[in-house]
Amino acid sequence: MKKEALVLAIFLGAGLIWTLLSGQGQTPKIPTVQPWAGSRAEPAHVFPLRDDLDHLVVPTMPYPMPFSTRTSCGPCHAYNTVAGGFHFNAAASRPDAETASRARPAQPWFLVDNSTGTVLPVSHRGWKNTHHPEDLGLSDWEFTQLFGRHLPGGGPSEPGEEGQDRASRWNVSGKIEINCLACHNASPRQDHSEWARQVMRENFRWAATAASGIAEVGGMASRMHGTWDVYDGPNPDDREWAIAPNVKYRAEVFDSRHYAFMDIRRSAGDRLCLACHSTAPAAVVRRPEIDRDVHTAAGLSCVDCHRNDLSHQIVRGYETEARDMGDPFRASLSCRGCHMGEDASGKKTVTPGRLGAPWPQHKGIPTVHFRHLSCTVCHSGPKVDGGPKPVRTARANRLGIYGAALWHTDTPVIQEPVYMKGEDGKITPHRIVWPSFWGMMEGKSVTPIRPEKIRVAAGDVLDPDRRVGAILRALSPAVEPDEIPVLAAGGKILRADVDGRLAVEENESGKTARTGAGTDRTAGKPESAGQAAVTSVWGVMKSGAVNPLVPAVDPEADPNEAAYELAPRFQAVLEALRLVGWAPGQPALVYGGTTYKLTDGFLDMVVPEEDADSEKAADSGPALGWLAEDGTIQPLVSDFDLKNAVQVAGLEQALTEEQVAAILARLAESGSAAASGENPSDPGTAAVSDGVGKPTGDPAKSEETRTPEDGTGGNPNPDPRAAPAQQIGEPVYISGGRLFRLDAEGRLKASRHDAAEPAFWPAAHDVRPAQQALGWNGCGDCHSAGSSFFFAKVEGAGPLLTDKIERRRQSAFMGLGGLFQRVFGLTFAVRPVLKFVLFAAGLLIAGILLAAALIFLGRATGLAAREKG
Amino acid sequence: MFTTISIAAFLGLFFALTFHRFRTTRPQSDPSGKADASYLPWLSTRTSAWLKTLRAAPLKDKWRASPFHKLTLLDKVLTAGLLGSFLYLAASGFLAAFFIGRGLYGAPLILHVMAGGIFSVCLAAVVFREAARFQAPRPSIPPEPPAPDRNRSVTALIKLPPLPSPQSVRAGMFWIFAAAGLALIVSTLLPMLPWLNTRGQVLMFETHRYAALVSVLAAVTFACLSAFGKPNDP
Repeated sequence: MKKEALVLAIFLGAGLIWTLLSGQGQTPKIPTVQPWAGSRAEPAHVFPLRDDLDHLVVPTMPYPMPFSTRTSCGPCHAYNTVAGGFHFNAAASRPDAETASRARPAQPWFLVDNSTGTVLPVSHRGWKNTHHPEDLGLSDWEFTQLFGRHLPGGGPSEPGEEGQDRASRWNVSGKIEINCLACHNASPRQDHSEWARQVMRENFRWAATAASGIAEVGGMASRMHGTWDVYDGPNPDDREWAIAPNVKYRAEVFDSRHYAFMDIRRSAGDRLCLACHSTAPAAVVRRPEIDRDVHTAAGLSCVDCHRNDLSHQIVRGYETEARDMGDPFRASLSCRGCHMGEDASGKKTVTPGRLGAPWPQHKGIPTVHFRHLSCTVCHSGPKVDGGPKPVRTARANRLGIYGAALWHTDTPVIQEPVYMKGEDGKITPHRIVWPSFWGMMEGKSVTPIRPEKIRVAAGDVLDPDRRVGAILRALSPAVEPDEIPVLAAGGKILRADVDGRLAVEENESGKTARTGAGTDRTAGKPESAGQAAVTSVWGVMKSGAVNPLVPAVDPEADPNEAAYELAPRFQAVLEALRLVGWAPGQPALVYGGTTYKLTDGFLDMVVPEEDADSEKAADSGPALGWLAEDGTIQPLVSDFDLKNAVQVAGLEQALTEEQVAAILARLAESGSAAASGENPSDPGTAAVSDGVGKPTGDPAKSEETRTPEDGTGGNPNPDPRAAPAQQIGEPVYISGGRLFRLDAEGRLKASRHDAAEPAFWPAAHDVRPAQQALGWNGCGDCHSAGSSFFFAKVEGAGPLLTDKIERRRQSAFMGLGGLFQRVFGLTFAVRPVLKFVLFAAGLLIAGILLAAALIFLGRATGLAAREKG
Repeated sequence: MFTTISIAAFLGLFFALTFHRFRTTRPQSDPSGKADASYLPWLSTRTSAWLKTLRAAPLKDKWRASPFHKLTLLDKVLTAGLLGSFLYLAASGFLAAFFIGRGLYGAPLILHVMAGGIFSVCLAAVVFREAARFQAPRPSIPPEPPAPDRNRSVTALIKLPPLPSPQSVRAGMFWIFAAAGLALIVSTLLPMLPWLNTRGQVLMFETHRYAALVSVLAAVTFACLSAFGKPNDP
């Protein structure tokens, strides 16, 4: 009996071990769902809407609740099954590094902070060169705040109890359930822009209701106190600011039973997909210049290829997906499967021609191309002419959110096409983003530092352009309506843009702006900074001409008389400058040795005692500045601000090398202070003394992440993340494919590093017509000595203005030898000769063979003359 | 598939040629066929002897003794071009086909294409110059058939046609080599032109491989028969 039990135990144990081992490394299984019954009809969706407590939503009741998709859609469509779909399951589990490296990447999220020059690729899926939110300390709450605008709900935006950290406000905002309507509501009222606005107002629970168009949602959860709960109802004491989110349903949507009719369809149109999946070249600013994908033009919709059932494991459409997902059906929905009837290994196991897909002729294309290149290399995305181009995508660059405010951004800079080997070993066009972030390096690993901490540590080193912009914006009331306050400096005419930063008006008069107008000065110390001095003039621009803000007068005229005439202008300018938020003192104007300032709203003059210096000062023109407590006049902007603001104005870069060096020095200081237990409360002096000087204001305080102007409201709660950076290690900055650090002498050094490698993901759309495919014009499209396909340079893009960036040829990304490809390309120049030689040789041999065959036949058949024996 | 066929063909040719040599170099034929059993020992002995000869005689001497020096300059150029390019084409092509999964690529491929150009020119010239030598022989009036010998057995009456002479086989190999060369040229040229779709490309690729195999077999046969042909062969 014991023996039998032992055998049984061994058998069961072996079975258990086999089960466990066989489960490892397997492909993700698609959940089993109820089989389709066969009807192709789509049902009318007239159904009761329910709130998240599963109570019927009665639209006529006062303060009705928003509907919940979990309780409204869930009864017919298993919510938890849907939640396992590709759109929602990213945060379900953290994959190990090996599994993640084998997976086919998709576009990650990008944590962008222009002020600190941060562009961090973020993904729960662990794709190469991305950062897991956990590693960045990003909670589900923060992740949802950052990216909820383009999240479809579920996943991290609908966390369980364990995902609710202290800083989160889920109890106020509610969670973002899977928004079924985002993809399935065919009503033209379905509005992604409204979704984004509601998410940014932290109206998470209300976002789906508002975006569906069946109700208006007012109020902002972001302005509600942290103890407010949706069941508390509206705030009777505040009808102006902290208005609780509230819903007003459209009555015509409901019948007498309070059932709602919604135009819900299996495929509700590409418009809804494109809300989150649009892509367009950044250089194209006119919509008519863009063609549609050839599949769309042929009448196909996105979901004709990207199919799914209730499991929502949507077909991504790449060649090896059938193998990866263990679902052979998917092989027929890749380019190769649909058009050629081949699976990933090239076997004709797939039914071709779905939805009328044509058979490609590929005349003159050697088959080696199909073994080493994905279809998308030749057929998809922008053409490679001249190198990869910047493109914008909806999720990265916040496209598709319409309203008075412009939401789209230039960062992150996404480059396409960059040809790299995909996870299947085939060369595939990719989109890439070079990361840029601050970090602490220990050994070979770099740990990113959150932008909030950098902002605190960097202090006034950041945002010099904002400080200049703030002055220009403040000066607007002091000039005529047809005039624009400008700063002419460094050959550029700078004006404030709508975001308070600087825009450039390139103008010849700016380059030759008169420097004797009174408010000009020279900034910078060329001998120490190694840069040219920056001469600046505060002025006004009218009809393209720039004149001094405070006009110069005839030097022969009586200064007192001239000052009397200009007094109204002085007063207007000084009053305007009082509105500058970061001003270190009250504004003052020095003219003819006299200091003008405002005292109780009146223009006041301080006349100096007469001496040699005052006589010299009397000869100088008007100069604006800030009156310090010690009575000295400081310039409107520091030399450091002026120099750095001018350098980056009008460029996509936001930081200069000088700024980066200064911030690295401050980080090193705060890091060593943290290591020694000191309080690094004064983050800026020694290391940035040159050109920076004493902080003139705290831009971190003046800058709100979100402001009331953009319709999202501000967060009334303090940000606990903005504690000073106290990591241990060497501070570094990554930008443009290089890692920057300070050497022993405090100079900025650049080097290559794995952490600076770009995030990448394959691109498949838009598919171009055959005539625009690579190879249409012949082999020379790719095989030539100067072909863009192999030799176009991919340059590291980043917020740092520097020439120390990574530059690689496409062939390097492909893992191919550049020299060989160049030689191979050269051979195509002599290929016509080879063809002629082959043709001539073949013709000659064929002729001789034909003659010999005729002779042979003639002699064999006796038709030819016989010799006499 | 191609690898299997190629290896089988090479082995088959090797044994056929060595067996032919074995049969034609014995002092007298053995009608009983018992002596055929000594083929393998003979092959072993001859192989080891050949290897010893290879080691014994310096390459320089062999080179001096080769008939290459007796050729005219043009023939030298053509022979060197044809032989050199063909050796490289065969070596690079078959080694890549046998041992490299992705086939020929990189610098060897560039050299392969260049050698292909040289080969085509040299082949055309050689075929042009040598075609007359390997023409089908003029037919002569056949001799009168002998009178039937009534005393012979029935089996003796059933007589197979005689095997072609080595010279005829050499001529045949020459023309097969030329035809395979033409197939190689055509299957190189056509894929470079924008005429063939994917199926055509695949067909040309296969044609190229098998034409190469045929050309190697023909060349080897031709060379062996030339080098080791029976002294009294015409």
